[in-house]
Amino acid sequence: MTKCIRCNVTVDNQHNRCPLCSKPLKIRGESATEYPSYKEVYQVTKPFTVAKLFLFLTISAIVLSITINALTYHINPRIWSIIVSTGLIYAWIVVKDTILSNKHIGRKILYHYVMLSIFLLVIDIFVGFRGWSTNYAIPLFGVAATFIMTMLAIVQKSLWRHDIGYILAMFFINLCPMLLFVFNLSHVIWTSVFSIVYSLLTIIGMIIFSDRKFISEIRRRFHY
Amino acid sequence: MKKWYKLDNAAKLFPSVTNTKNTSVYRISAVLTNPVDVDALQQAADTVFDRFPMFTVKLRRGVFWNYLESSTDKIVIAEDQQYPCRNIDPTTNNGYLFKVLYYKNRVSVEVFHALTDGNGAVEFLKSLLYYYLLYMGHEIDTEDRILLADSGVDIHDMEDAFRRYYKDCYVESVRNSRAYHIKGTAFEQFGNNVVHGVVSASQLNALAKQKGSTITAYLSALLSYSIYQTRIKYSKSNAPVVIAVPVNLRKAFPSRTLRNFFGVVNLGARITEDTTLDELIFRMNEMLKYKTGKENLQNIIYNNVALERNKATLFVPLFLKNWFVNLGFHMLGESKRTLTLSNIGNIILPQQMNEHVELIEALVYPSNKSPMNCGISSVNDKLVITFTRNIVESDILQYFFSTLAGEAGLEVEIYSNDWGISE
Ligand SMILES: [Zn+2]
Repeated sequence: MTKCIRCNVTVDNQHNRCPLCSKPLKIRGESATEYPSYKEVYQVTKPFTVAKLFLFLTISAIVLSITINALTYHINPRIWSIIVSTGLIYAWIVVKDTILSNKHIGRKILYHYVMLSIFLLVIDIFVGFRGWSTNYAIPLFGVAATFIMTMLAIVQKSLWRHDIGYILAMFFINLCPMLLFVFNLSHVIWTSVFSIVYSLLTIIGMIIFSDRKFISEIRRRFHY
Repeated sequence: MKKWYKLDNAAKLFPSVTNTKNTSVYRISAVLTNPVDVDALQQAADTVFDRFPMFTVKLRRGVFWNYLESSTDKIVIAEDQQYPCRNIDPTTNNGYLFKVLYYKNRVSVEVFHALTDGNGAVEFLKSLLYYYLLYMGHEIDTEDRILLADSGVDIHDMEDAFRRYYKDCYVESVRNSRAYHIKGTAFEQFGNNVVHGVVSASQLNALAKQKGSTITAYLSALLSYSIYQTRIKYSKSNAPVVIAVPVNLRKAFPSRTLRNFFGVVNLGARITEDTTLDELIFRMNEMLKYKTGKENLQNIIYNNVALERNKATLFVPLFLKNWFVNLGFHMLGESKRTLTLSNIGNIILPQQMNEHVELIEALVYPSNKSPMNCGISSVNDKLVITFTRNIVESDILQYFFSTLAGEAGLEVEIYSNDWGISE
């Protein structure tokens, strides 16, 4: 024990400086209250990582495309850089969230599907909104995403632990194309109906093939 | 089929607001008289496993709610290597939301707040230490103060006491102004620095009594005063200093639950050049007395439960809930408090355990807006005041401890983990 005269407190032997005012103290020894030295856990923060490189490249490409688009607008009066930018952001998501991430595969598919839908919608809008994205691409990709999730759940036998939440989420997302139809943004009904019927059948299938387990899982997820 | 539990009413907040800089992980440690024996500690952890099913759970994300799923994986004890109250990575640690750590003479339990509050963690630590000492060959009479592994799980341990004591009542929402916030320089490497100050519990208690106050009110006042003297005095701010004090609700509303059952009361004061410390102690004590009155605590329970009882929230997807909870936490919680001072109180151990336990420490995780928090705990007449901070500046605690030693005349003994200090 040493007294720190500046702070008026006694400082434990393990310290060669006062923890309150950093005044150097003479004695240093062992103590029961000592903490680990942390030397190994102080790590140098890496200035260069693959994720940072991709982020930088993506931002550079977006800035460049907007610049070129703006400078050549008098020659080609189209805002093509928006499509390029959305595409690049989509690519960035693919790298960051799908390839470099260790999140659960169900979440990856869900996220990926939402990003893809936005990307397709943007392209559709900027090439004169013919409605192919909302009519066909988005609902059909939704069916595909649900299908992949179901297959993975069966193959990996992880349905009850992880996947069912995402499959339920896909069911609600697949309901969205229906809204597009109601609000007159979409003129083709069969694709939306198909995606809803498909996810409904998936859920009915789960109920039939797994009885009690499913009911308890639903209760747990919805929290009754 | 694995068993599962709903998160209790206080716990729902934590998964939404947690990140690497606001970890919601607190630590309670015991410094023993002898170095820790790893095998005996692991054996003790294995023994208490069955008695604390509320701890051996993993956090799962549902579509609309988070929930806890029980697990049979072992509790793996580990050597303490990282800074305290670091966020718990659910992909390690067998997916558990708490850790049992050891280093030299110290046994620490780090707990994600969604599992339980300080009271529950202390019960766990006591049982763990009891079996540890037993396996080290000591004979101990439990005096009925320890939850034993073979006593079976009590249904009351698991209750969400918020629900039991929920009563519909009218609560006036008070618009409080923003509190003063402590600013500081981040450590070169993000982490938590801990400074402990040990004083005599009976001497501090006598001192507080002499001022007509309790330990919690006295230390809250001294801390507010320190913040004024070191910071606010030299700034243009006239924001109030607000100390958030978690209150164990089990005292006013009897419950044996090992889950969360606490409320937070705010002790605020606008301090000026003319405010004296004695005056501040008086004000803080009155406020604490009033705010921990049964009626006021009943309102806290109401506020905790009311939102969840709203049927509409049943169908809001989890990610949206997280977003709203986060917003509410920052607007209503974090911005209205300067720091948290948590007093887990005097821990009474069986007589024969006392000689093996030197100190009990309570570490409250800091966050971005509240970069320094305070935890208080005592055992065997030794009271430890712990500051956990993620900023370099130590001016406030220097003033605090110096005043405690100088003007109050207490013997203060300081030690620290020196995070970010030693080169
Ligand atoms: Zn000093």
